[in-house]
Amino acid sequence: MRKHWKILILAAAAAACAMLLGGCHGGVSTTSFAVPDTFDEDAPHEITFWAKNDTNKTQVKIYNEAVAGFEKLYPKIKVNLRLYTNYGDIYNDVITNISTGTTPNVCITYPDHIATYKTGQNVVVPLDDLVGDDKYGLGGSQLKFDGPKQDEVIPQFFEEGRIDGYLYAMPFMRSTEACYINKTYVEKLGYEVPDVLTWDYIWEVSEAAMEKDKDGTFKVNGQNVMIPFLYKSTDNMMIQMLQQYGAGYSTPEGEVLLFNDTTKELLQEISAHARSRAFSTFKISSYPANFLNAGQCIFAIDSTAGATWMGSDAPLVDISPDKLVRFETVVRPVPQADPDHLQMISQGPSVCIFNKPDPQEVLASWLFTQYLLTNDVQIAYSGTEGYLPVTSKAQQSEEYQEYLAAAGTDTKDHYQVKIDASRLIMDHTEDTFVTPVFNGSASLRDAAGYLIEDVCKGARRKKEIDDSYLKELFNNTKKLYHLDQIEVSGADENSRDLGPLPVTAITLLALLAGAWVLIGLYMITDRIRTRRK
Amino acid sequence: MKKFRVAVAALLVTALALTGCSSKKKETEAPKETQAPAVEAASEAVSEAAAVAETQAAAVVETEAPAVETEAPVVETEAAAVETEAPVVETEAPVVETEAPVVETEAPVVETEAPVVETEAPVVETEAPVVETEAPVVETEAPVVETEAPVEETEVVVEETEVVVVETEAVENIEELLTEAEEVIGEAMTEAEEALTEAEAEEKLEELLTEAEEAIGEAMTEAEEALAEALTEADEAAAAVETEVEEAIETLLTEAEEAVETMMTEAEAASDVMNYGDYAVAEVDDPVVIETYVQAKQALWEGNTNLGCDTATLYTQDEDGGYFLYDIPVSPEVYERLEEGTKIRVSGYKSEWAGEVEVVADDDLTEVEIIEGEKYVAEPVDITDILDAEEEVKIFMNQKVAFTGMTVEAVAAGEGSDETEAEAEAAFMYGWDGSGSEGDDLYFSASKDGKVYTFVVESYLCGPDSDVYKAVKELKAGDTIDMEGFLYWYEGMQPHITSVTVK
Repeated sequence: MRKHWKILILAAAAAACAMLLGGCHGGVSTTSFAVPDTFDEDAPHEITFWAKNDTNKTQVKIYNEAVAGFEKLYPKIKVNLRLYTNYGDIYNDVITNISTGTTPNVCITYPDHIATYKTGQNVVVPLDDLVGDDKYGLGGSQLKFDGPKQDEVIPQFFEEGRIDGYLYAMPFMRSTEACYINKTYVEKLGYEVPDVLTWDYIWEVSEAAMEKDKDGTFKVNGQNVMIPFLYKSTDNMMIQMLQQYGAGYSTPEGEVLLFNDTTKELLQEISAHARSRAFSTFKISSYPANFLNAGQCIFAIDSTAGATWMGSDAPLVDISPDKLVRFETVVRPVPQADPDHLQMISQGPSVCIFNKPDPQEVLASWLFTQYLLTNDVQIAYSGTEGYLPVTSKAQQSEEYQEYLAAAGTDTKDHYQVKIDASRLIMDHTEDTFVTPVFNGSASLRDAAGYLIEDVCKGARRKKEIDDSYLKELFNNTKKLYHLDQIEVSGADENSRDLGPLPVTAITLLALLAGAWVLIGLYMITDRIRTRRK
Repeated sequence: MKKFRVAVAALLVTALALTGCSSKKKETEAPKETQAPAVEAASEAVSEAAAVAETQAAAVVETEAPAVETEAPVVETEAAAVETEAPVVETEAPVVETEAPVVETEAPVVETEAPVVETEAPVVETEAPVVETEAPVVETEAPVVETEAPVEETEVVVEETEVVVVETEAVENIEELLTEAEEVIGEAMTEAEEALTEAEAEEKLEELLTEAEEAIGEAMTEAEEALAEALTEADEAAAAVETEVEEAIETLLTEAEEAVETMMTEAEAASDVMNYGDYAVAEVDDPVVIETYVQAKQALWEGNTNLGCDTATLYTQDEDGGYFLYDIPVSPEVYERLEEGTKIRVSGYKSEWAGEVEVVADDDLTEVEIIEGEKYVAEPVDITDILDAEEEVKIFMNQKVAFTGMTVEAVAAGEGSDETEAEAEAAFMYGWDGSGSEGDDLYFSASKDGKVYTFVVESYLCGPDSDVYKAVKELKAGDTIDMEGFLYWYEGMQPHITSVTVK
């Protein structure tokens, strides 16, 4: 038993040394993937696809159709679909499965999450070689489907999957946030809905909507409940506000800039409206769509991918029919600091591929990933919500153009609000931005939202949101999200990510490390023995 | 104290030394006996002188200095015994009586009696040394001078010449003897005069007395100094003891106050505990403290990233109403002890999310506290008959409820659904619209009097391995079922079912 312990310790030490050495060089793998020359279509492969849907059965149906269509083309490849309804669960499950070597083959994800996944050894496959492969890459000669060429993937979306200089994710769908507005109530309050909302405007109208009648009901809706302004994702709210006001959030190297004076000013402003109850959040109150549809909200900000829930005629509704209120819904970009220089976040699912010992299995995964970019899948899936296809090939297709043109012809497939939301991101693709991706960027995003949630709760609980409160909040938030543990990568040439080391180099380094460990152990053992004598 | 003792010892030694010096007897030596030659005149003169000398030297001078006994006063310093008794605090929370339901909450009577501190400062007894100074007895005895002139018998010769010669020699001898006698007598007289001078004796006496007084004065001064020092040290010792006592008292008082404060806080906390009536009328975002009984629990969320601590969601209830505790801080150890019926105290904020009234964590992330003792397991209330009256149903929000004689309905097909035959026959869905998968919440519908209601098997409460999860998956449209569960709310009634029985 003691011998076994020694062996285990030595092995662990050697492994640790190898990991450390490898870690110094960025994404390191002992079995880095190399694109096979040919794909063996006769060999059976079973791959797993972890997919995320927006609690939308139609999306599930489209995934299933995509799987069926792919398996028809590649009958030896079996795709197992596992469904999730939120990114957080996928993220947690992937993290758990990395440690056990049971990651899925293909997974819907966010680049922020990939940054964490790839801290493991060669866990995520860099896609650069696959994308550019003549036979099996984008537009490759050996593909059995009509996939997009590389230049047919919207460049901005394509680049969003690049982390540390390497492409780790392919875009699947894109969305942004939109403000769904009860135009009827805005006009009832004596305002017009501008093409571009400003923050000043939305705060002013929201406060105006808080006026009550003598009976205690709100004048604008005659109900006991009115939350004029509701925000679904407060992390996006903070990120976009900071971007619009030119304040810091983070650097590409991972330096956290979130805790700045502009953030303080924004939190003071937001908390003031939370105190008056003119503003609330999903986490505090519930889904903005439910309040909007019940006539209890005027400005509901949510993803364009949630458009089918918004409005009196929304195809998807979570409240009882007797609570629905009729009103005119219009869609606008999120409020802006500078209406002449719009800035909005780009979001939506991407796809990454996890590495496996069998390169043929990885290649099969890549083929399926590409299949998700075909027009059939892209147009069908984008139609389920206010998504935008990520390829110009799909966007410019006749089918998709007809779809857009049919907006408002029905309240289901061509629901006006949904298609307006899709148009919003299509028209403002150039105005979208993404935040830097690094190991810890997902935590930073959570922290940004937490700041808003906290001051809103504090204000509602009659706390004074002053400098000392915010100072303490900043400190607590840094601790809660471990932001002080984020390693800032060097921006200089010496610390630049040089990509994976060759396998032979890794092996050699590991052997050297192991030898040194053995020498060290021998010396220690020898010294102990000498002392005992 | 040690210093004091040294000082006293030094004082004693000094006093004794001084006394020894001044009490030494001074003895004056008597002059030598001088015997002059015997001649009548001389003899007479000598006799006369001797008589005078005898008379003058007769007085024996005995001078005894008065014994000076100095006894320093006994200093007895006794610090006042300090008896401090902290006030007995009796706190009795007011009896809260609420009409419906009547809940009488009597906070425990807190009687705190601070310990009686009896501190007796040590009795410092300082006794200055008794200084006994005895002046020396001076005894001076003048020497008795007895001079007897020598008797010489001279035979007179008839011859004239011889007589003349003899007479001349005799005269010379007599003169010589007389001279010597005179000298001796003079010396003796001088010495006697010197020794026996009364003034001198008095002077000596005064000198000795002065010395004795000085010695006494010195002794007294030293005794006084020693006494003063002893007193100072005694005062200092007493002051130190007093300070220590005061500090001890202060510490005890502080501790007593803290203990009282803690008990008061607990008593207040106990008195702050709301009954269900108070809780029901509290505003959303108001702080609340409740005591309730666990009926069921969802899984423990270790390291809840929203709060930074372990949390759990609990279904709880007392005799008057239900409380849904959402993401309440609870340690794994406490979580394990949360069995059905366990009484707990919870501090948090009242909150409302999508219509569901719940208690969420307070700012301090106060953990759930188990109250040992009594247990309560609620019996489900059958609300089947009031299902179509939302406001009436709302009264039972979060309580354990029962539904009887309900009819299972086929699940509604999703929009554009091309569901399979198996899906079409199923009476449940993974997720609200079937977009989930095994392990997710199960949604199913059941009707009563033509109205369809949605029911959920919450996977965090009853997972895939639970009987109810399995039972619901076996339901068929048209089955008549009885159910039990908790009346959760999401934009309307949405019970979390814990048991299903097909009739």
